[in-house]
Amino acid sequence: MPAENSGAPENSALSKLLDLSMPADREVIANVVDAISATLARLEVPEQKRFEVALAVQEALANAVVHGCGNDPSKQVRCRVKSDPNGRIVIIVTDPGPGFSPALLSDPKRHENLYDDHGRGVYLIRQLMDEVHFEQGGNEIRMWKY
Amino acid sequence: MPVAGAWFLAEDSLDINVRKRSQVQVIQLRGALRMGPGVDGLRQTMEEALGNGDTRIVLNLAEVPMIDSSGIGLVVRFLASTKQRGGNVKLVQPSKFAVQTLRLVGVLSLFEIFDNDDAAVESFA
Repeated sequence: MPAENSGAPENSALSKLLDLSMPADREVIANVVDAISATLARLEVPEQKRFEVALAVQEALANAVVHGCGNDPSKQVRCRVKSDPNGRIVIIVTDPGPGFSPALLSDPKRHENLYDDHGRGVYLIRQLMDEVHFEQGGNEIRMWKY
Repeated sequence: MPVAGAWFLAEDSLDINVRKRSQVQVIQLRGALRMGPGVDGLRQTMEEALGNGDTRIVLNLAEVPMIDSSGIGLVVRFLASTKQRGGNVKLVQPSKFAVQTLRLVGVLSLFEIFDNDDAAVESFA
């Protein structure tokens, strides 16, 4: 489980790698995820780390499109990727939705939830990333990978 | 409707190959199984299989580098549906990252896993 208190640097110490806006369309998510993966590959980020970041971004964008924007392609989801001088990566996904309370999510590993067809996205993000913070009432997620 | 032995290319680069062997539907995937055309394509394939009474499913994941939560949700839902009808969904050669993801969310142990299609098909006998 990620730490609640971030040792992350201030924004001024971060280098911007990508700043993308996409329509809230499920079919566009893969393009953004693949663009981020390609950027990390160019930076020679190891394959395991790239995979974990890519899946976490996939889940965060899916939540933003489906829950934050209600699958309305006239709405926009913003995705920023930055790195700090130590090579740590932060991905920030922002949607215009009403937000949500992550504390209310159920545990997908509980026996009664194992066969559910939903409810695993945020859990996966927390498992894959080193720090996860929800901001702006839940409609912005900041995910750190060290 | 998928034709046995044919490859179907979704826009998000998930190929779905369906063939029938000994009353077992063998579905081979190539590409990422994630929200969008990939998951939609597999959902359609599996619903058609169930609609045709095919409840013995082999799902080959050897060439699936990523499976996201929507893909997992789809597969476990069909696992439950086939089991309710006396069938099963058995996995073949899930990739390293697919295994990691299924394990992370606690569903890996729900599946029987085989090294190849033949062994998975024969296990239904």
